[in-house]
Amino acid sequence: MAEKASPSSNSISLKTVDGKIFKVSPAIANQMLTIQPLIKDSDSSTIISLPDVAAFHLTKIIEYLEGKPAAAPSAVDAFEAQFVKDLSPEELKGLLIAVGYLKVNGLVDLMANTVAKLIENKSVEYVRKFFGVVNDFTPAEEAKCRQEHAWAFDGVDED
Amino acid sequence: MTEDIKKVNQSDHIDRISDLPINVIDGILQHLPIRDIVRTSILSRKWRYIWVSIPHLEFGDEFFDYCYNRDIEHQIPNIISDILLGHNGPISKFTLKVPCYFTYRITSLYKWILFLSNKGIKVLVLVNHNQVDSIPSHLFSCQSLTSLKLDQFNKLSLPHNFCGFKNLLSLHLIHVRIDSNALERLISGCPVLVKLIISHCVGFDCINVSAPSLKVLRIYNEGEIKSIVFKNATNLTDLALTMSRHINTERGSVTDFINGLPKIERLHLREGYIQVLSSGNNLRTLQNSTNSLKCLELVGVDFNRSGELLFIISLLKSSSILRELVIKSYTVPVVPPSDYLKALYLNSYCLSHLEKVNITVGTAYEHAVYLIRFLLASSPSLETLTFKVGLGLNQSDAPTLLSISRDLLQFGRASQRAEVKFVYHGLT
Repeated sequence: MAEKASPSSNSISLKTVDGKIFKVSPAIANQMLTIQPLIKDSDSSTIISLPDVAAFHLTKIIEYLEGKPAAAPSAVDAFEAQFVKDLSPEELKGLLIAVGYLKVNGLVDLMANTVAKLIENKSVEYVRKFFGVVNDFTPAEEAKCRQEHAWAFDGVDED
Repeated sequence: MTEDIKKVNQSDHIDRISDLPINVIDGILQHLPIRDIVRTSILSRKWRYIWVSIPHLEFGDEFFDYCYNRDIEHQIPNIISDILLGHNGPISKFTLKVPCYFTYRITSLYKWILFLSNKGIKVLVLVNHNQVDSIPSHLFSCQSLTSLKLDQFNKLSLPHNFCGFKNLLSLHLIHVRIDSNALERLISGCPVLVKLIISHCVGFDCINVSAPSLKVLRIYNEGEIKSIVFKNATNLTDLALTMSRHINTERGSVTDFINGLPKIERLHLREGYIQVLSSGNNLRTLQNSTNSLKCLELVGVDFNRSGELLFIISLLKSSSILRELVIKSYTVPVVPPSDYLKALYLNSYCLSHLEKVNITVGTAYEHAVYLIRFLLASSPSLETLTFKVGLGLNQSDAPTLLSISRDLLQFGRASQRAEVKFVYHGLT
């Protein structure tokens, strides 16, 4: 997969884990804090490889950074609501991991908030399944932990 | 040209828990209510102690409602104490909002504040609707505070050794009893204060401090404030002053204060201050302070007092770069519009930057209609003018509404693109 970035443009090339190359402007790339240090000493032939980001996620991240309105907070809210509206829980989780890894300006908070809303007031079992957490407590240990903060475990929404 | 591939390889450095980097987990936890945060402790062994180092803790309505609905509200003080004592690491933000229905005395508040003062607390919000306690003195030793909001405390008195909040940027006092002396010491002790909001506080009648870094000042008070003096407040850009009518404030001190603010961009005046500033013969009251004014909001204008209308006109004429104007009036019409007001639109005056106007009245629409005629004729950059009237609930209002609509359509407009919106009860 030796795709070459065009040397004439000053765009930054990003290569996703599934082998796709995206060209983005420095203004967009600079909002991904994790790759910022690599941009400084890059030229147009540099390809920055992102081992934790799939093409789908990078497409969404670029869509967010390019589309976010600069001005009124109400316009930003509407844009963000639309942005997350059609994502499945699985897509949300994948995107959250990608933006957390790239440290994308503004998007980490949006994704964390969206995921938080999905697990709010859900059962421990639901949250485990959502995050793919394996319960490695013994039943006795888990009961003890529950007992420590018994007040917090009463009444949850249907899964 | 050789391809230069750089790899961002963080996998080795990131501490991962079930595929999630720690910064992402912190982000999620910050958006969850405290009960859900605590529940993450039993997800797995790795999750067991993640939550105990979250930097933000909030005990607000959701927490109190949750406990109240399960009849465990008597446990609340212990729950908060347990969470604080088990916490590991710095706490940068702490919010406690005690609702009015919570009847247990929170005797541990002083301990919590003492604890937080050693945790590098930066943002502290204390809302105490069950109205018992005075403010714990340990609060005044929280030296890393950048933002402090106190709501409903019986008494705010400063300890003798109070040495100020050297890092405080924002101070918000609501329903707090504080005397003039303490208030002055408190504000003077915050050398970098940018935003100060004093809302419905009692116990003081004058403010006389130096506040060179202040940008936003809002004082909402029903009671009497004899004088407001912020010396060296040359950076103030946003000022709101509210006071009931018929209160004896020295006009001179308020005028001098506002006139000493060269950079003011947003000015919000309400009721008593409109009355005070528009009284007397001198209509050039605030001329020095209007050069950079972009947004003017006057709430509770009395159209029956010709002085208040003249005050508005004179403010408009001297505010050469004003963009937004908001006027609200709740008075019942007694005095008919003056000939001066009726003929005002004939003045060839230019409010060259005015883009947005919002006028709301009850039944005193006649005065407002003449004012609108003047504004439409004088504002070449006008984009929207919204006129709301408190009419339209009765069938008998229909002819009046029709005549207002007709007037609004017929008035000459200096701006081609001006959009005029007429809003009344029932229909818009």
